[in-house]
Amino acid sequence: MNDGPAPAAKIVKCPSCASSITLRGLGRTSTLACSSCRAVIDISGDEFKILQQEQSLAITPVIALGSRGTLKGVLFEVIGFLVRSDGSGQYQWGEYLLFNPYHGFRWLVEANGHWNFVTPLTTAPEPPSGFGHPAIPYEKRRYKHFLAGRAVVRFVLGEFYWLVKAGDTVDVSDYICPPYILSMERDQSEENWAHGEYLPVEELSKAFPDAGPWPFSSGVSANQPAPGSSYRTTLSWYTLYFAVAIIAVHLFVAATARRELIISNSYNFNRTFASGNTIVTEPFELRGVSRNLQLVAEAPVDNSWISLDVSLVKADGSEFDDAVLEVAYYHGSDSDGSWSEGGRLANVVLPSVPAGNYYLRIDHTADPGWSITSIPYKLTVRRDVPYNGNMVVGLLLALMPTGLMWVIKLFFENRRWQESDYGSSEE
Amino acid sequence: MFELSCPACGAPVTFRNRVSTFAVCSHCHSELLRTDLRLEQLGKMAVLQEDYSALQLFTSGRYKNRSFLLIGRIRLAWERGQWDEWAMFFDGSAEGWLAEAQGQYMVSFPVPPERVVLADSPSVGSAISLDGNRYSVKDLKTVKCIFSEGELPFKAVLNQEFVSIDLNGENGGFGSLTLSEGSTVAFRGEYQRFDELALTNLRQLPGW
Repeated sequence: MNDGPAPAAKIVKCPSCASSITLRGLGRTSTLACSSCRAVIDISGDEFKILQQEQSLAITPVIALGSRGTLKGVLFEVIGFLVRSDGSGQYQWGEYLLFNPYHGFRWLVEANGHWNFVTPLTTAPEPPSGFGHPAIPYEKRRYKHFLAGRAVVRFVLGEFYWLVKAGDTVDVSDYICPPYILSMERDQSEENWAHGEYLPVEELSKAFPDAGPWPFSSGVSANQPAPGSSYRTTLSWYTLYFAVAIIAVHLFVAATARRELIISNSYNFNRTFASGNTIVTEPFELRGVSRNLQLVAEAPVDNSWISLDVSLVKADGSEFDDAVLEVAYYHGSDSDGSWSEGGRLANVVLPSVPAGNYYLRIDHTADPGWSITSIPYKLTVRRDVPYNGNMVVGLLLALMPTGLMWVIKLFFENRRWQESDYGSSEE
Repeated sequence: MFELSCPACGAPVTFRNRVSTFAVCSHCHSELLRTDLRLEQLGKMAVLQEDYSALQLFTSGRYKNRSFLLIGRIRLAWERGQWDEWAMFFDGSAEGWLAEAQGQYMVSFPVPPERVVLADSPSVGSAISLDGNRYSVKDLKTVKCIFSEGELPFKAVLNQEFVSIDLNGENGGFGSLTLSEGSTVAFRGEYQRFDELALTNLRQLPGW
């Protein structure tokens, strides 16, 4: 009965160079490329047959054959390595066959320093659909077509579960849904599909610490996730909630603003006396917590101006704050019609004035070309008015980081799709 | 479940499945054919060298929420390779098969003969209907039994030949036909991932 422990891995002799080779595929592999002489051998039958005596290329894998590492919670051993290129031979990539006798085969694919963890699929997904840009629905995601081309085997090392040698060519088609990819390969007899997931090199180098040097990643790989993918959606929603909250708070504050009338008086700027330049109001008391203080000046200006330099002075004589209210209004008509500029009202809001006793000291200047000697104006002072400025600033600050994030994503997606069959015309 | 005595060495031979007509004695490796409660020795089964199977007799697992136990195995070889078919025993009733190749697991069940529609001599591309589903012949190969163990529902002696026909299903399923000694059995199945099968009591492989 075969219920005893299995024998240790089989050691065979290369039929070409006679060096010893340990077979790591435990009976599940059909091709072996000798590490010493690089001959490609068919090991599927009772006798070994040489498929290719030698190979013109010799490439050293980043992860050595025989290396073991744990990925996605499963221990795998690297048992094969191949290098493929596109039809022209200019664009090359490496593929590492991972083996676990219980879980089966997986692949690590490296292109331009970017890595993918790939699982062969047993059944083909649905065919692509969609007008304009074909896409495949698979496991609740949409995989958009990225490119179609050819893949030519250029170099093989180690073991593989099908008969393969340098020169073997297949048609390939890739569909992406970052960080995932669906890859189809087809030759005369078979069509095979595989599902890949972008694997950051940091995670890979932790699984295979003895491997390296790791190739530098350049460009954007087809299914590479855009920076910030993990948090972009959440952050966007939170920003939206925050913006809504800001608006809601502002609406609430505006609705509950007391708009308490403090002063509503008419004054005269008497220009004949030097002392008429300055007016001091009656003192007034502000109660309760700090609130804003709105100053509104209204003057009958007509193609002229009056400027009020208003100081909010505490009862002890020290100045708390000041503002300039300039009321200017100009109008006329020219070849384009009538025009006007400015208005008869000027409005300033002083923020956060705490409780206390105050008065206003007003210094006046006016348009020297205005001939009247005494300019009347009305000054209205209100406490606790609704003020939009805070909300606008708050919204800008809230939206800016998220806005920046989306701009970065847009540029990234543009770079991604440059490498595809579709140029940069995608989202 | 019942026990009979091996006619060659007297060791107990257990049968869990009433349908099992063949067994290999675990003690002396005699090939035994069962008729009612009598066992007849046909020959001796070879010992399988270099067995790297991840599965073993009495590995258990789950398929579609039902537990199964592997109670028999036949290893089939052809010019380009070999593979195992394991007899799955589900509590008392269904008889299924678990095959493993290239790390992929396939579970299949026999199709009742009245639900099989096929031409007299199928060839590549022939259309076949199993249980109302359409399949086409992918390939045909002559295989031979190079090893068997446990209990099986058909005779599986050393070097016994079968014709194994792989079928492609319309929706990615697969099927197969096995022809031996004049009879044809059809199977329909689907792939399962290793973690989907929740296998326990797996074979210990050196270094793994």
